[in-house]
Amino acid sequence: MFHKILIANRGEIALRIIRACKELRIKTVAVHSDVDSQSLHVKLADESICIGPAPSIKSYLNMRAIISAAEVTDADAIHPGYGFLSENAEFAEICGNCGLTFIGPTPENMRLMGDKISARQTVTAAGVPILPGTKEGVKTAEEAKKVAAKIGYPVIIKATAGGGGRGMKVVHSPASLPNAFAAARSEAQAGFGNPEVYIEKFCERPRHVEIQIMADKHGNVIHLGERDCSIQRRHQKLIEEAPCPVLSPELRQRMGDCAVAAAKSVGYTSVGTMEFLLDQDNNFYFMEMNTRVQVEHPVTEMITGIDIIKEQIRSAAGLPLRFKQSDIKINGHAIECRINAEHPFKFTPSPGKINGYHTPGGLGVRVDSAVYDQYTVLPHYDSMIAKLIVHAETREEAINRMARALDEYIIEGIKTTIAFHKKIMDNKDFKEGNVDTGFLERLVL
Amino acid sequence: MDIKDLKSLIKLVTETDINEFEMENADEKIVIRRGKSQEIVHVSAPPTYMTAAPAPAAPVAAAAAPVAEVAKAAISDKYETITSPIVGTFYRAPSPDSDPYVQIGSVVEKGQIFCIVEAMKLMNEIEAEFKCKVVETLKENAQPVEFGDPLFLVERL
Repeated sequence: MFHKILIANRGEIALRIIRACKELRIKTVAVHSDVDSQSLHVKLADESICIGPAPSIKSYLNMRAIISAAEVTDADAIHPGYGFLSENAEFAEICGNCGLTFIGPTPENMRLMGDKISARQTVTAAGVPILPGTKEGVKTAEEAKKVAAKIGYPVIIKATAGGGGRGMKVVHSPASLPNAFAAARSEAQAGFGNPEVYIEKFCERPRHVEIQIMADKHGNVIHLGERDCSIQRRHQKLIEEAPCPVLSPELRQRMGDCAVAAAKSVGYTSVGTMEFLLDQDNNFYFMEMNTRVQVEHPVTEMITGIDIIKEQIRSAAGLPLRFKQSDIKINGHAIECRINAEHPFKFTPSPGKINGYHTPGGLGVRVDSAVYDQYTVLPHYDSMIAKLIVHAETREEAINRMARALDEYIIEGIKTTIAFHKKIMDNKDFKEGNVDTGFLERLVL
Repeated sequence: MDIKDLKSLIKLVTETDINEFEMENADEKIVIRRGKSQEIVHVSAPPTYMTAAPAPAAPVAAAAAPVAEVAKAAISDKYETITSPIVGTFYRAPSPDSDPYVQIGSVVEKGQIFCIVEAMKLMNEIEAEFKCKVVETLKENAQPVEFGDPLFLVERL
């Protein structure tokens, strides 16, 4: 087992990792930028080292400084958390070369699954369904017609060089295809300087459903069920829940088996998440794989009773998984609300000093947060300041519990999105489990 | 006193020109004494026999604190600190058998090397950004340093 772990991150996830290390009796080193010296993760670690000034590129993304900090403190492993360097294969490689264990998958697996094209090819080979679509650009209207017919309407035409939702055209019938194709090409040319477009199946009102997997270095891979993360604003998740309200046990097993098969096929050795789109007909399609621990891992922990970070550390230390697939049981329902330091409805950032702080409590309430009373939320880093998680026997009870907990949560001095989450808990569609990735966009609060 | 507080205390003493610092409370007695370039720290629990309560720490600490504060204030007006721009290990000389780059009293020209901070097997030479005289070396040879850690106390010339 590791003697000392350096946590190459900040905020609530750094605190989460420190907690797991303490319970495993592993010493901890916190690294921080100069403005973060009063952060909770710095206060609670056994040792701390200032590695650079405020800008992330000079501190939390500064590979040299982090490795140097590991050297001077004699750490034997580095946990990268999420974001920052957690999916940086080069960093994982450097750790290995310096004799430090990177707590995560191998650099090869990070590269393989980090590239969207190679990831799709890899999972297809393992029998995982991907969203039907062309691999290369579609050159003519004729070709477009053939491709669309093969995929099945509705389809979406996307610019190869594009992004951010621009240059996309949804086509519902063959009649509208030629015009849409031409328009998409000229928009792509105008917007990105490249007229090339490709065609994909369009999922109407999909749900974002992801499967948590866990692996060791001995070839064992299991899944811990799914999370529904459909409530997103500009592709940022705001609310997550487990299990997904519309997944049958049979569908869960099929999706879980797919995720495990894909992970096994590449010899995956750590924790990871496979993201899928689930359409209205319960077809699921692979979107991407995240080769790290995720923000919303707590909801899975609540329903399975498993400490994902501790298991990840054990696995990185070479220990075999302690659970078989048949040991994994799902109990009750969990919901997580990400509390951001932002205006609750405009979402404009609101850093500043917290001058009144009281967390909710009671049965089934968990707060993962690195802020405290009189702490100053800094403008330099992302705005999430807390995760409020609840667990209850049923989804309805979980929603009531979350509403109750949000009412008790006091954060004064800055604006937070607590009021926004209260509105969602009160929303009819949400309460009925009737959500998809377009839910927030359509919502009028 | 836990290790973090003790480290802060030692740092505080070394950043001033206090030579001896003593603090006592019911649980422990801490003595920090500087001799040449070494800090000697004694931490001991006082004998546990019952006598009249030992003189509380407050007067001692209070006496020490104003001295520390005054000394620090006097120093910060005249002197500046050269801090480390990176995390690593501090070395006073280019190699174990060489002389240190600078001593107390050395006059350092702009661009001249103060010391080395080693990071990931690379020796980074820390250069002076302005002409100055070295007043104090604040780190031990081969001591780990962090970003922003004070290395030298200097007087700008």
